[in-house]
Amino acid sequence: MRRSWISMFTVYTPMMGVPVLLYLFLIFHILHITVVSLVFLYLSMVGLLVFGVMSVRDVFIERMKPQGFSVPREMKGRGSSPEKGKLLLSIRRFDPTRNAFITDEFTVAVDRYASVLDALLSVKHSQDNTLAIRYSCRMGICGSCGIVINGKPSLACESNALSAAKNGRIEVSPMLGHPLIKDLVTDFGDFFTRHISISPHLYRRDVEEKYNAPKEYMQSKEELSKFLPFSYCIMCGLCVDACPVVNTNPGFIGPQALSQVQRYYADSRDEMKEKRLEMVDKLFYVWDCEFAGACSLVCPKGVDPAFAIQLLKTEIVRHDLSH
Amino acid sequence: MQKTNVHDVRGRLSLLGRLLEFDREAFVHLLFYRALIISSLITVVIFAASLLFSSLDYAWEIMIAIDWLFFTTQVFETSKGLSLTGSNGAAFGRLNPSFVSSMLPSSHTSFYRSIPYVLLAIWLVGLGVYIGVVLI
Repeated sequence: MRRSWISMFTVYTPMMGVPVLLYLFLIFHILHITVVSLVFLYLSMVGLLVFGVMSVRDVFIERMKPQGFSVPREMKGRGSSPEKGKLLLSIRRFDPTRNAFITDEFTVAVDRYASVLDALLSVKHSQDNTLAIRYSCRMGICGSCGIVINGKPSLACESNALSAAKNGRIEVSPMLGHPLIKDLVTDFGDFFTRHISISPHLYRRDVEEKYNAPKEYMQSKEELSKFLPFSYCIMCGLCVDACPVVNTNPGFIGPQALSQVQRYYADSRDEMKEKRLEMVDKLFYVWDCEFAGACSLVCPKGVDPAFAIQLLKTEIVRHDLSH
Repeated sequence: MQKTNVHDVRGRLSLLGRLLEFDREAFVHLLFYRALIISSLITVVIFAASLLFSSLDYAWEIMIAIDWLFFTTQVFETSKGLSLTGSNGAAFGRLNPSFVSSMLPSSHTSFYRSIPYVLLAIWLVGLGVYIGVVLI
């Protein structure tokens, strides 16, 4: 009997092994599906929770508070809303009657959307109407309101007042890289003269085609990408103000004009390429650039004048080697 | 045409200090460059004098080490400029972000970004070897 049991065990076990294995596989499969489903469910719930919290934060908290916002010292402990704040605006202004700088301080109330330009205009309208500022579009297109905010050349209309404040204080001053006229206003005559001097326009040898163009001048994506970023320049003059070479040696033509040389040199439609290279292959042009890179750092439109100047240097060397 | 009365403060070396507020790397680069101009002139003078007075041999070797140090930022910024042009503005460039994302192919950016740091390390190792072998 015992033997038969043993024999049954030995005979049937391998046969039973198949369904047992299948059964085990089934259990494993079910468990696997259950575990995966549970994990998926758990992750979905966590994801939904995180997404929900982030959305709530974005909608109700984060948007109320600009990045880097700090509540001014005098506002703390008064239960003030982060939507508004008072700023101490320290204006270092140029007095043309005495040829000297004076610093005036004003306290202005600003909301979360206010730009530094808004704060300056608030001062002008309600506290000191003699304050001279230049501005036009208020949306970072015209490039008129370039000033120095906390030491960095910036567009006043594109700088959020609350974000720019350090301990509730903003220091503004005129751009010293341009001749000064009054308060925060600088003279752009020299700047535009330099810009004009590099022939900032497309040049074609055939004058007749200007009046009767025989074809369109199609450009490929590659051809376009060679000059497109340099054409974003709004001539705000921030790069010239930031350039340490212009600041110490006004004879240098400056990063704005040189970036525009590259803009037209790289354009496949232009037919004055050699002349443009010859124009800038001089000491006070590309070879005076020391590649500090400050011009690119402050450019509000991503023109990257330092890159344009390095490209011009490369092109000059390549041109000289091939001739 | 009416001439505007303006006051021009450009041309002062002290204006380099403006960079400290927003671009310290550029400030160090330009400061070292100007220091290099002076130190390299002193080196030449000491070297010329050492041809006559052998007691000055050690002095111009020290000056070479100082020049080497001041030249460090030049090596770094020059290699950065080459990386910038080599990568079409992708490495160390500050081009418009929408242009970069839509039209600039990103290729070998990390390679180009590493070049100046590798060269800087080699340059400083060279300075260390020079000080160790020649001066000490």
